[in-house]
Amino acid sequence: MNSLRSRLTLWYGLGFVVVVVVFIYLLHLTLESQLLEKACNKTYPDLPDWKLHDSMTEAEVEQIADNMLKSAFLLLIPVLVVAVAGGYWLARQSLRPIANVNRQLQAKNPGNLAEPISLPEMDYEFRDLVRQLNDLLMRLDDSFAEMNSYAAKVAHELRTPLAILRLKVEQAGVRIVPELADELESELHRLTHVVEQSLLIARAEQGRVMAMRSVFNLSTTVAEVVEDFQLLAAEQNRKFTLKSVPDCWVSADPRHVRQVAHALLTNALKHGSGDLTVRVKRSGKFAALVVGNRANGSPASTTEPTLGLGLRVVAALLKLEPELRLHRRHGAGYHVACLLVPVVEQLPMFNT
Amino acid sequence: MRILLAEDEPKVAEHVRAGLVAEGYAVDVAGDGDEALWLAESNTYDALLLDINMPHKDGITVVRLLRRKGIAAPVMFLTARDDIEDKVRGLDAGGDDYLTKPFSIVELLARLRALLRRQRPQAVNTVRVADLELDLLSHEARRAGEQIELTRREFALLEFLINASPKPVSKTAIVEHVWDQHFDSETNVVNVYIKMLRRKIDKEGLPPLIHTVRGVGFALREGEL
Repeated sequence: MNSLRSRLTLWYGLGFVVVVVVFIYLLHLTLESQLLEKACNKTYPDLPDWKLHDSMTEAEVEQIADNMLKSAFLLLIPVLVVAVAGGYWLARQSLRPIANVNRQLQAKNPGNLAEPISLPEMDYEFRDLVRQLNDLLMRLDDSFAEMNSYAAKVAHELRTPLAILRLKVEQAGVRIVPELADELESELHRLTHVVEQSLLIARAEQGRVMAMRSVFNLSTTVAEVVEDFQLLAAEQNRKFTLKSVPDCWVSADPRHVRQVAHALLTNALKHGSGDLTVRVKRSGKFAALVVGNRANGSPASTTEPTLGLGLRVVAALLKLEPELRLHRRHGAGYHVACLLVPVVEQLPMFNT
Repeated sequence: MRILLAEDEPKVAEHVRAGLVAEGYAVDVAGDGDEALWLAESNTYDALLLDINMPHKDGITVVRLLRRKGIAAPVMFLTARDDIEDKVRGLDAGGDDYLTKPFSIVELLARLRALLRRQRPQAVNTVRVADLELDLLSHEARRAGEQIELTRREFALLEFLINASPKPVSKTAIVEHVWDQHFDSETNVVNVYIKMLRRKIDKEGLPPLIHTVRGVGFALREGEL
């Protein structure tokens, strides 16, 4: 039994029952002794062998005592229930500060690490623990902020030299070997993209990206996103299939959903092989965007797909919207990524 | 054309975005002033649509900061305030137009077209290179009088090439103006679209207009390089 609350309940309940049983047993002994020996005994001086116990025989006395014992033990059942309930309530009350601290810790994210944990009526036993936790959170917040600010500064500082380099390559385009110019330009563009993605991650982790939740049609959004990927898949001679329910209204930040969909499709296209399947379907209270990548190549081409920076962006965005869930599964011959978005039953006033 | 839309009301943002995307624009959406500033500094936009009342920084401050940094993209303010003082303040800060909420998406698109038209050397709705003609209003393309069916993205790419003509444009510049921020530029999407456009524009028997400029990018012009 790992729960402290259950253990406390059990201890309290058992303790209560033991006390009650001992009490009943003592009561039984007392009653029997009273009936047999003391208060009810009558003796006759003329007849010393005669003993009268009120108007009862010894057997009757024993029966009365036994009945009392039986009734007491029957009563013990509700007493036991009350004892367990009382024990549970007491355990819950005593552990409420822990539950409160736990709840506050669960709500912690990079954006609110500096907010201290507070307990309205703090007992002495918890005061020290909370103080230590708050100190730890402060230290975490400091180092987190420092790390993020450093990453953001580096990325930001890289922008200017990158812009200069790009201009120089563009200007020198006709004077340098075309293949080299092409290569330089695409590498510079890639580097710029990496810098921008790093900045986006830093901003999201600093809590500077806000989720703008609205109701939108996931099917339409996905259809819009896949347009380019269908062409790119065709270019790679890969079959692209889109299966989508006609209307699938969901509630989330459409920008984030688009970005995650882009990342998943880019990943499937760049790191996978074989046919690509995109599905939008309802699954209970969620709509699922499933990107499946059938890998029909050699084992080397079906290696574990790594989203890399894209995955970091996706993870940072998903942290902003805990209602969105992403599951990825890799098996022999397939990779599947599934984004779950909460469904909205009532349609909005306008169609997008 | 790539547009930055900064609007803190999600429904309005999504509605306007959908309207712009349907017209072939690549759209990035910012939810507050800080994000708008960051995106405008990080990317190249052909126009900015900014709400005035936004969290963190209002639209007027965003424009003022952008102008100070030398970012000259045309700006249209979208706002619920309609008093003259606000309009003057917005325009003085560096805004180019002002649209009061509630507005019709048709009006917004018309004003945006006008804003973008003013950026071109000749403020016309029809642009032409050789026998290729592009109607920016009806989104129709014609070569030698024959109508060409283009997707939204193909039209946007052709519009970008035709606006730059006869100068060549790099792949990076194409990605920056025709696609939104989500797109991973590491893919060869530009090449794929250029190939599609060539199939439709430079048909057999017609002199090619889309040229690959080695080491630079692509150019739309008449005659060989």
